[in-house]
Amino acid sequence: MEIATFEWVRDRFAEVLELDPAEISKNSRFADDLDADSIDLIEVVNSAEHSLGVTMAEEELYDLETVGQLVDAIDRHRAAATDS
Amino acid sequence: MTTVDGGDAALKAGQAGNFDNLNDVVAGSAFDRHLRFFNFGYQPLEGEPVAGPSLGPLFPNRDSAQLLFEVVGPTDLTGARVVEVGCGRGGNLWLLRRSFEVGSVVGVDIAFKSIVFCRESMPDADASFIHGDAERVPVGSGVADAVVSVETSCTYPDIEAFFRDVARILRVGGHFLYTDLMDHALRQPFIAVLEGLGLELIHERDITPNVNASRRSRAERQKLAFGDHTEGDAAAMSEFVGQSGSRLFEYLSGEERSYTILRFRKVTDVEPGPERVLTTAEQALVRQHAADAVDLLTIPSASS
Ligand SMILES: C[S@@+](CC[C@H](N)C(=O)[O-])C[C@H]1O[C@@H](n2cnc3c(N)ncnc32)[C@H](O)[C@@H]1O
Repeated sequence: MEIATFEWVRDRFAEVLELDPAEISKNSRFADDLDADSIDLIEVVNSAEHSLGVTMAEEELYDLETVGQLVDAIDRHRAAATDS
Repeated sequence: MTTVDGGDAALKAGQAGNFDNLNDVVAGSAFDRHLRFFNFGYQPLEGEPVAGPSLGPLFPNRDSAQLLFEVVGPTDLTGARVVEVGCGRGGNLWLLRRSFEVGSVVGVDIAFKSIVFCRESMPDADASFIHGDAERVPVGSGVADAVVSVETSCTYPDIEAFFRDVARILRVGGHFLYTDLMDHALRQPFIAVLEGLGLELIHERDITPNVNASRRSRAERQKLAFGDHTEGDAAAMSEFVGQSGSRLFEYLSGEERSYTILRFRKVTDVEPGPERVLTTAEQALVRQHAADAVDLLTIPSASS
């Protein structure tokens, strides 16, 4: 894959949340560690859909708790896209 | 749609237009498909019990979801046929299907664009959505195990007609799960109307502090979902989200109104008589509140 998903997600969240990317890891919890809300998540996912060419269903997003879980969900779509 | 007298019809057209316009505001944005609720939401205060299943921290409109859970409370909706009057974009019915094992759902709203959103986002056989008026709910008598009404009745010019229809469409033993911002002077009269229609009040709770807490923490953020607006629309947007400084927010902090949950159970069928229970003065106050709401929620750039 040309763009590494974790780095991409990390950088987008850093931008949206105005944080240093180094403060964000796969284990970071959106609410407790990053103080992110659903509006931040939707912004990042929207831009992932445009830039990474994935389409995420709503239900994949609503129970996410950590950055790593989002990265895994995006990776599943990217893998499926390259398989077909 | 059937219309009633001229003044009321104009008010209702105004309210339908306002919510159709709000649909246009979000159409095509990243938030569009996630935006299922149009209400002020509920936040549990420190130490308070929390009703319903727990939701992830990033659940969109989490406070609105919590409001529904508080309204439902311990009501058993397993297998129930639920009708929501003033369903907006269908969030409550969507969440009932997601979190409880309801049988089927029917949503009714006067704003056609909201009904279109509901139909597209819930194309399931056991979910149907009807464009119609809360004062003449277009569903059969005795068909509902539960009627849900969340933050919509305060804009009905003839609320007693709505209450009569709630009683008509509920089966005996069915539940009316109701919440809204209510004038203190009208809460007891509303309860009296419903009791006269064969409904028994089983729960009453003032949740103004919880709704106020939600608005204080979420309104600013939620306005972002409506995107950039011309200066002239800012006031209406601020009312829609109940931002601090808006008139609707002031109602949550003032002395005259409270945001109340009322749960009723229908105990008997009553054929309403020709006389209204609300006095002329009460009806005038209801109509005045409806007219005020239409004004506050008018989006200037969309209405010219
Ligand atoms: C604040 S929104 C609440 C929507 C939904 N209940 C929710 O909780 O998200 C008020 C809704 O009431 C609807 N409404 C207003 N007047 C109505 C009427 N006379 N009949 C049916 N719906 C009406 C509006 O179109 C709008 O969708």
